[in-house]
Amino acid sequence: MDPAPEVGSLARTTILGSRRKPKPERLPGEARRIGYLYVAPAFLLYAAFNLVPLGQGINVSFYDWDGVTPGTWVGARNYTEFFTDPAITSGYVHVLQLMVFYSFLPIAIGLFLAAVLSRIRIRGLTFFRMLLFLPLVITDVATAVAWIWMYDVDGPIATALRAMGLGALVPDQGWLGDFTTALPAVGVFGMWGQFGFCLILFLAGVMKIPASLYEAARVDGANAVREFFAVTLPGLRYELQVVLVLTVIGTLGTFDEIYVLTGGGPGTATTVPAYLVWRRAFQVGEIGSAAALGIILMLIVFAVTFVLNKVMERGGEA
Amino acid sequence: MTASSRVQLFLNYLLIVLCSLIAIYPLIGVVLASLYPTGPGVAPSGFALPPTFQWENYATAWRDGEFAASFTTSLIVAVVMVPASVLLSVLGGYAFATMRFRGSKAIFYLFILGLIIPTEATIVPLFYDVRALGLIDTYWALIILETSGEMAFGIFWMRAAFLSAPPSLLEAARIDGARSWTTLWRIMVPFARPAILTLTVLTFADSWNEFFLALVFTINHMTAPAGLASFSGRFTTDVALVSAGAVIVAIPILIVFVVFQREFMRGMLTGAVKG
Amino acid sequence: MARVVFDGVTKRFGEVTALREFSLEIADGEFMVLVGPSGSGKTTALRLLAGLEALTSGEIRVGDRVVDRLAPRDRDIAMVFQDYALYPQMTVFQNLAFALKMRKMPRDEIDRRVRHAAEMLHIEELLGRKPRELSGGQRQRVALGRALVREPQAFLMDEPLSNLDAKLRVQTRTEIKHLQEQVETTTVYVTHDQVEAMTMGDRVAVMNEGVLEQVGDARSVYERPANVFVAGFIGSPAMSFATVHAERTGDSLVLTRGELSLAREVAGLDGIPAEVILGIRPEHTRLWTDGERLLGPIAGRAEYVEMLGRETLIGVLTAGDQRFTVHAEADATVKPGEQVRFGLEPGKLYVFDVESQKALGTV
Repeated sequence: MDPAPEVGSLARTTILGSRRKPKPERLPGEARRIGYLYVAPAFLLYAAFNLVPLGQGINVSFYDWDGVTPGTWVGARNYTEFFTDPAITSGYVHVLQLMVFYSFLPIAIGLFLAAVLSRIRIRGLTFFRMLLFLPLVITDVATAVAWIWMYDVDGPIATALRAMGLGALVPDQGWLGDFTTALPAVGVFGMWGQFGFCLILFLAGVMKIPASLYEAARVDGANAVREFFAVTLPGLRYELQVVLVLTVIGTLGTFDEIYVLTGGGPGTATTVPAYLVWRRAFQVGEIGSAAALGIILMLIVFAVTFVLNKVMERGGEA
Repeated sequence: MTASSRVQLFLNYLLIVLCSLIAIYPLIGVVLASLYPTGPGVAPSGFALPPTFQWENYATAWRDGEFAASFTTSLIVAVVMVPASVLLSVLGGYAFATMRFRGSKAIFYLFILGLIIPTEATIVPLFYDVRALGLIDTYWALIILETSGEMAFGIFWMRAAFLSAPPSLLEAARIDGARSWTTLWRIMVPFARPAILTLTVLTFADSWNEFFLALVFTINHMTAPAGLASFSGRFTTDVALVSAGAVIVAIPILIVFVVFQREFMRGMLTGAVKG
Repeated sequence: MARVVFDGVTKRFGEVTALREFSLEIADGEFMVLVGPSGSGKTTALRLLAGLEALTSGEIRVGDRVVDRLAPRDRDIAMVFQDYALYPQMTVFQNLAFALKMRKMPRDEIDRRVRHAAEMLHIEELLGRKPRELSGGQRQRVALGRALVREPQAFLMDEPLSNLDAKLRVQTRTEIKHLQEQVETTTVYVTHDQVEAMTMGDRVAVMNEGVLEQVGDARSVYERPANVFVAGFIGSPAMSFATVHAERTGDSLVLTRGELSLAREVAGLDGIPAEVILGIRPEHTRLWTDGERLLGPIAGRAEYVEMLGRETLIGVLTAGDQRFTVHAEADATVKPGEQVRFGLEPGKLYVFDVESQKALGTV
């Protein structure tokens, strides 16, 4: 009997320091180091153009730099500006407001519709699914252009309102040009884009809920509303978590439609963090600040993801 | 079927038709708008058909928006980037799914990190890096950056796809004497073909629709979305013309979507698994 | 020489010991069945032999070559998986040929071997099809074929019949056995089904919780079980057990518990402990008739009555809370709840030591 394997594994654990977890045994003839070879191309590319720049970004964020002349060290000033610079804070306020349109409303509508539609099977669902997905599939530059037309003072929304005698609701500069309506207008665009996705996702999730649960609820005398809260909502917990995280994170990164629809305006009425990063880096020339804003955005995304996941998990256990 | 459930069925159809209409109205509307006479003027109301169907607008938009050039750019970038990205994801995902090597967990988590790192966090230093490499306004800039940007999702996706293979399949291959490369290409890739197709389609969509990167890294060699944004900025008052441009840019991805519906759905719905 | 030898093989998965000092010698050309309940270590032993797991200690030899460090591909073994593991995107022909292609065998040799195996398994018409077009039974044959073409030193089979329906299982059982006799390849066959084990194996290795309980041919394992586990695992319906008080008086051995009292003249069994486990197979019990030479009578209440066609099985609960499965003729008219009396065939009682569970002898 060969004592070597035992000694070997003992040596391995002591040489590499004490580890609580035993190392996985080497299977005879198992490919080991070749794994690195397979992963290398993807990882090198990713590290070079995602991880390294991240480090560089963190570095740059501590400087005041215009991109041309040498920068000066300013420590954490670019970060403390998060609390003092109204442009930055208003940017985040704007995404919070947008979240209502991009996330909460589509989810609510999607849930409601999925619950209503689930009661009877619909034929030709594939066709409808295709239509409902279209807004997200087409590049948002193109869909944003479509909505520029939608929001035009003579466009369909205005025309419809005037036909109903509500012409007074149409701002003179159009919804996208009016200080108070610009952000909600962007919001409605987002809601239009997201609600189809939410609906389809929830509908798919609802169909996975076993019919027996609904039957049991019905036997227990639950009406439609009770059914929704007792069976549908818990059954969709997973999809809810996924959609919530995706839409919230997505809202934080909104850029394309802001650029096309409003350019951050009028004034600063629709600036969002991502747009701010771009403007400061490539228009204004405050590179250090832009880098810091990018890092801050990332940290907020991390935090939100973490919190949302934790909350949803806890809610699941309840 | 009872009367009340027939009413319910009718209402259901009504609802979903209504939702679908809301989803596509702006798109249909913009197609109609594109057929109006061009030139600055009153925007189409969206409730009346154009007086004549001015199909020439598309030719005009194609010319004035220089879409031939931007489509070519988009196409070149996609044709290089999609196979490269999928290949790298297949290789990496396979390793993570079937091989055990030290640090594989840590490396994988680094990739997962990429799923939540927003582009904005790295765009600033990336610009200067790319400029230092002399790649501003080149196809390569977009190809490389889009590919590296897809790595996180691609690796995650392919790893999940390969993990779904029954372990006995891999064991049979080992006993039969197939090495990792052979096992990958003769057994695992055929097994995961639907997942690979889905990834390809999604990656193509991401590439074609990419705007932010194009905006930052291109000046003259724009991609289709960037070209559209510029076109829209130049001809803001000409609703018909700009609409034509939007439709032009939307068509390729629309065709791909209609043909590969199933893959899109699968990808967008199950890809949402990572929360 | 294609002997397969397990020499003191131990396998630990973290805290769990799946296989403990497992030693077994399988002769060249022998059909050895490893049988036991789940967790018995039989599949672990097979996978260690295949090289799909690494052993913690011990040695495994195939044909006098120590293989524990070798990759599966170098061990000259072929395996049939429980779920067949056919390559889904390849045709049956390609599935069969795959391993041979990996070994860079010349095309005509591959062709010859594949067709020969297909003939033996009657799957020639299926060569062009893909696995998803085949039935479960056909897929199983392809899995067998994949092992056959390799012409290895040993076949390893991991519960290959468990995914088939009952009727197919019986049919395929004999076919596999015939096949093995034709090619004379050493075979290690794992199953949890003791009927399969008894009918197919030249020898049977009964395993439980990582330990080899007994190895021997079907008859010896059945008639001379080494311990309580083997006695209870092998044979269906299972042996009935009861803990009884044992006492030697003169030439007789008296077993008592409560109202139960059995006496028989036996030689040997002198050092018998005061308490033993008594075991009797249902087929060695009979409803009491005064004329016959039976040990007993034992009285109890019929808890259940199972009419199996060729016999009736009665589950009896004695006053002393002991349970026996009693055999009765097909036309027996006992009903549940009734009182019955039954006897045991002399010489067919097994006695086991209570602590070690080992067999002490027969009474």
